[in-house]
Amino acid sequence: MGTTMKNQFVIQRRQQVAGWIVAIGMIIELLTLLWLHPISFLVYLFASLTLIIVGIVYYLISLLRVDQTQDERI
Amino acid sequence: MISLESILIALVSISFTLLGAIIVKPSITTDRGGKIVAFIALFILPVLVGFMGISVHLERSKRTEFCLSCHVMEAYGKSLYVDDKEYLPANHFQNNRVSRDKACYTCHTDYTMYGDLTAKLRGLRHLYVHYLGAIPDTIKLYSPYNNRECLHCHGASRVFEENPAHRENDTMLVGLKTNQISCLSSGCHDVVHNVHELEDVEFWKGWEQR
Repeated sequence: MGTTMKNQFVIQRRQQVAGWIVAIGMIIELLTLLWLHPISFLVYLFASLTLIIVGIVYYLISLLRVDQTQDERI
Repeated sequence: MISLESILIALVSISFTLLGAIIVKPSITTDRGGKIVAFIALFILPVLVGFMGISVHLERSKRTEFCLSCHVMEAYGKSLYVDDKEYLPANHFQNNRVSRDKACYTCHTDYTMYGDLTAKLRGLRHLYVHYLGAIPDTIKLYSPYNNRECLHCHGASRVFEENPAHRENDTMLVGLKTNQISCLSSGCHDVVHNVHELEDVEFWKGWEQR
């Protein structure tokens, strides 16, 4: 039971971190809309989109680790 | 009509709401409903926002203002206001034959990010040269201007098909349509931006009022 709760805490923490990463990526995306310039397009591609993808991947990895944790208990 | 930007901002707003819930109270993801919220907030919506962002930025990059945002393009923007019918871009721009908002893109549809991978990489190189390199005195196209850029508006039009100059001989029209004979460099419509001659021309009043 203790292990389960600890695992849940870890997973929630990862999802929280993923949430932060995605949110920061979206904030940068909104900021890039304020400036009509090729640089803002590049900032969107290399900063905002990268952070969003990293956040998504981190969240998906946290889901995989959930499955691994359950397998180990079985 | 709802713009792409409005949809993007709406999606981002919804994302922030759901992300805020997960960040502030991550324990909501323990139950089934919370897991669904997390999946929407951390996968579905970010994917949508990512794709929408690309669409919005691509649409914005078609705007004349975008192209002219780099100072090296200022002379080209100025050439759109030349008070001379012979100047092809100016003639099209001033008479609304191309959209004023997308004037550059209408005639340069395969330039930088709208072209193949090579063109996209060239676009990155332009940025590098603009900020860190030496901008050449004369900017040239990498390959001859393709008639396709003219024909996507003028092709099959009566003025184009029945113009006596385009029917000088049996092969002229076919040659124009197949890019064997250039609309520009053949000598017929060869006055384009000519930015090195702008000091000697007069401008349409729209230049001061823009």
